[in-house]
Amino acid sequence: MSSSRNAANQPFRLSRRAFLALSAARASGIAAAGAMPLRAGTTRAAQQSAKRGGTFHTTISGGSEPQTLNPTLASAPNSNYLMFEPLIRYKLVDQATSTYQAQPALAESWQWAPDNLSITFQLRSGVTFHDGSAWNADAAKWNFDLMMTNPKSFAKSFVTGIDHVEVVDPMQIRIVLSAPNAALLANISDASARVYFISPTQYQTLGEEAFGEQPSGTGPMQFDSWVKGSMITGRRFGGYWDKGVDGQPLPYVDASEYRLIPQTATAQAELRAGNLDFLPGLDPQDVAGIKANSDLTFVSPPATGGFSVCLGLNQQQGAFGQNPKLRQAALTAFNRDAILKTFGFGLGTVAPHPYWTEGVIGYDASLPTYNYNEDAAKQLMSDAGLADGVDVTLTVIQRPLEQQQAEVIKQMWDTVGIRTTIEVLERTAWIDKLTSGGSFDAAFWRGIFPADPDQLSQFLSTDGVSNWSSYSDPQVDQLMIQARSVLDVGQRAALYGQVQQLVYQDACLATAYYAPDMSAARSWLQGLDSDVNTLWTTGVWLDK
Amino acid sequence: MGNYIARRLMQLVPVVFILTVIAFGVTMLLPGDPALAILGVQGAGDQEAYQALRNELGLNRPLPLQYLTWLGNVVTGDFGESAFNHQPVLDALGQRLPVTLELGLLSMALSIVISVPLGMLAAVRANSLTDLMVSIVSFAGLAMPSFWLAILAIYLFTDRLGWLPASGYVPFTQDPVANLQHILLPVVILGAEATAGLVRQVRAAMLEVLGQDYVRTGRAKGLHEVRVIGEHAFRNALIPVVTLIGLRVARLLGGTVVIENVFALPGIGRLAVDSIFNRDFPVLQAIVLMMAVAVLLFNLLVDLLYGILDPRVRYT
Repeated sequence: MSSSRNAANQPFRLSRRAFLALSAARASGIAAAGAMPLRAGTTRAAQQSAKRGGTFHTTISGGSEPQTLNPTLASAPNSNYLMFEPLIRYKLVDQATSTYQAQPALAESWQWAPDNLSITFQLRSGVTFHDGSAWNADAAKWNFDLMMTNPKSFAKSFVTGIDHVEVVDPMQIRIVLSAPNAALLANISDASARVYFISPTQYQTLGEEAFGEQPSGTGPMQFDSWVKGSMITGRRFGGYWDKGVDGQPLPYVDASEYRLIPQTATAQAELRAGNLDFLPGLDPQDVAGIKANSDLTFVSPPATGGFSVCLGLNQQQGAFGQNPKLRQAALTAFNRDAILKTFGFGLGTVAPHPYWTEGVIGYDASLPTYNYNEDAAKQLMSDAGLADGVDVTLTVIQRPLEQQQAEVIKQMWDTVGIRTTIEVLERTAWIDKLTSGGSFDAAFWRGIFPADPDQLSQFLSTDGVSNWSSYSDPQVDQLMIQARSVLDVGQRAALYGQVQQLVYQDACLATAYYAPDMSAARSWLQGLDSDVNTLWTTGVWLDK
Repeated sequence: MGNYIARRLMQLVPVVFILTVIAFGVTMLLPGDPALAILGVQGAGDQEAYQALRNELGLNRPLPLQYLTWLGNVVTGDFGESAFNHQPVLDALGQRLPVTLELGLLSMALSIVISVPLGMLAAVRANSLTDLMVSIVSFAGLAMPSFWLAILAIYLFTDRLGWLPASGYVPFTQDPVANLQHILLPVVILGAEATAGLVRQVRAAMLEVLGQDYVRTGRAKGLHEVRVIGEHAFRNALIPVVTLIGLRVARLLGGTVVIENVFALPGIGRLAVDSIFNRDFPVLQAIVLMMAVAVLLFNLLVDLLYGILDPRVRYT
């Protein structure tokens, strides 16, 4: 088990002590950065007295109901409800150097082939699904096939580079790639929040639709009930493989309750009243109130999600299409600092390089960017032959944050002669407009925190599924593919540096700031851990 | 009477037919479709997934054909299944209806129980201090939007006092006490607006009746004031009040949408909102149709009540 091309691809098996030391180092790092540390590193002593029992009350993230409980076919990411698990967990070790590490979950260890075209996973033994069937190589392969071939699979984009999956022996699978893929581990880990494993037996017995109503996985909670419009509940799975500090099987809690509360004000009242233990997805304006409340803890580890609002200028048609000077003017009139100051509530970080923020491989603060300068923007307008101004529309989704930011940008643009009309559309209407080739000049959408920059292909490649503003640069397409096939982190960073240079020159995209993922917990909630893009709640317990 | 009801019901048939066209057409006018809504911002660019979903949902068939298939099924009582989560539509409605019925009926009852005596009191003591107080309170109730009132109530009773939960629903059959705890705040808030409106209307109706000749006659022949008001005036004042209560039902249905969202109640109003955002056409069409039919039937019920209240009304 040794192959050291880069940190992200290092196979390893951490001892518990090494893991705790690592977590402690990380936790103190977070504390220094001003956010609240998770208790992973600090509660070793406390964890030895972890209390058992009780129900873990939280909400369904985003406040909208999933269409199915099958994690492969559910449109919302992170639909695992403690019922499903990934092959591996993915952790950010050092944000400053963009160092990541994969850790075992349903796989115990893994090894790349010398040609980097395949990787072999040793699966964890002694794991059973909630329906009693065994977790083994056949089950793993079956899951990968479902993710790759089901037309409705939302995991598809994370397993695209996989040619096929082989069963090597009952507890070993080999993933064969069509080309070397540096993003593979990040993609099939919990960082993608999509690649979770379900019981083939239950699926085949019940069929696709019924499985979505009564799923079976390997997680610490087994499905109990789904009251539509109200809640999803789980009860303790007695046969769970991982153990707590007391040597008994996890989980510590007896049950879980994921409630559906559409209004954030209502959900926060329930948290303050103690009816919820954990509330994901806070708005930045509510954080000060959470921090001021001694019964509550603010939870915001780095790289656990979050988003940036991305401004895209239509490169193909409309006022900005075929007019690079006007696009440069628009981006020069775009005042990132003012937007961060207005909407960040002291919590975001300024993001001058679209989609790349600190911690993402290839992030380089010294790369060129458009800095706000009203006079320069006006100059660019006359260079573009538009000294008299131009009319554009900005098409945004009907959400308070997007609408308010649109107002601010309109003001910035109006000042330099880009007379802006804001068009507000409800989400599906917005999607309909932008996908049906409707004419628009500029639009907003939310970018992700990529566990691996290869995941940004969906936004930057000509045929990317989230390339809303029809951005197209053949060189970028080329470089994104190249950077995927190189496994050396240094080389990849250089290639992604080139991508950012090109994105800068094309002047079609801009982000103002990156907003971290923000949650709130009752102080009695212990044992929360964080991975990239996801919070790990398997070991939570209630200290009350 | 039986003939009258039968005739009125027959008249509803063409109305309901037109309603099916509207229910179907209006949902189809929404931009986008269920497949786009399911794929969302992260996945709608995936043409393969989009087309697979459209085919599965039968959206690639011509619109008139979709309508006729739907109508044919609806006539036989088959509303199909949700485009979003494949739950049979009737199951979805059956699961949500008790919540909305409980919420709606209790808040209607609450508002009648409070507003009728208060409105009468205000009318009998017109222009007194009591009248003024009732007027101030009812105007305040009318002026406050229900979602704001709801948030205030949650702040007070959940956040500060910790007496009542702010969200969720427990069926009465499962735990009557928990059921009432969960439904109390929503009922009071939803009832508040209706109460405030009804008080004004009861007062106005009563005032008008009190100015009638037969009230003066009653008093002149020495009837006790209780009989004058309770027997002669009240019964006549009820006719416009019953009409107004009937009209309130439609507004109450609208009010449940807001209240169910604030209090996270899994009722029809929430389902309607979710179905609109999810472009869940089959569910949305069934809800629109059901709500419209409910309003029609309630109007019929009001017409029948007239006869009981006022013997002069004859159904022929």
